[in-house]
Amino acid sequence: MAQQAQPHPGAVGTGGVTAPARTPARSSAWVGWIRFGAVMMVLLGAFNVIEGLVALFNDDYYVVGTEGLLVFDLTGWGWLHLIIGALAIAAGVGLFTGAAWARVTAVALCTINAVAQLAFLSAYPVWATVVIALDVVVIWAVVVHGDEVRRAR
Amino acid sequence: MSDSYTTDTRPQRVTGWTGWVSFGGIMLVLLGLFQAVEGLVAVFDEDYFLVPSTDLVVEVSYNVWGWVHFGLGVLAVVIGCGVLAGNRVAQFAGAVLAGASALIHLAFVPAYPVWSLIVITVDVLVIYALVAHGREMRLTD
Repeated sequence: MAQQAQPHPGAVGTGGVTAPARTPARSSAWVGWIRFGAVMMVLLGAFNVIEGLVALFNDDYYVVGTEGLLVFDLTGWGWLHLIIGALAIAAGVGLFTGAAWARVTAVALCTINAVAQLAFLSAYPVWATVVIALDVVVIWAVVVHGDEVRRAR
Repeated sequence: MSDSYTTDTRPQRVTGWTGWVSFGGIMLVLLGLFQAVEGLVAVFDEDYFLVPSTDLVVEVSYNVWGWVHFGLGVLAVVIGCGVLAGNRVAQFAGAVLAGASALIHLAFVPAYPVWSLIVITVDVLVIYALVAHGREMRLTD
């Protein structure tokens, strides 16, 4: 598919049809990034759900008890992670459409999630760091390459 | 035909990269939120940190650390919004602030190593986005 995306300017004989047909094809090389962002968003939501379930049902698993956490106790954090995770999975699926609402939701959700993970970090530093990294990857893919999906349709 | 092709695509190519500047702006906002959280923890819950403030390179109380973090954090959120709005001065100020933030966090590492490393990483992302791609926003004006 990469071959047909690059009609060279010297091509003759196709007439006026080539010009409009060319525009969507040019952006397709980058569209993969936003699909990647969508998949990462679903993965990130799944991570969050797991964190939340562990916090709710197996709270001895975490390194610190409630006294080492900020703001909420472990049950509160568990529900928060579960809700953010479910929303992130939904937004990730929405990202596949490239719709503007899905992109705005994804960036907002990832920002909120990154701050929440920072506050929750002491419970399980490596998990939280991984999720923050995924948040940044999703924001990057959506912001830098977000509008190309729409152009490709 | 090839002439009209190039004049058509040039602005397109430039706007294709301004996404990086927006990314830098959002990362500045995120950085500001991170620092605000750190600042609030330092002011209100200083036992949360691993070492007493006398063990840091710069020996000031966590109260002072906290307000510096919080102030820089609020400033970063404001500047980040400015970058998102396309302000050129904000791009410059954002890069300078991210550099200052990285230096401050280098000194803050013993208090909470993972937080500091994450913030420094975000600082670098902000600087890259604004310095390497900041000019492209200008071309679209």
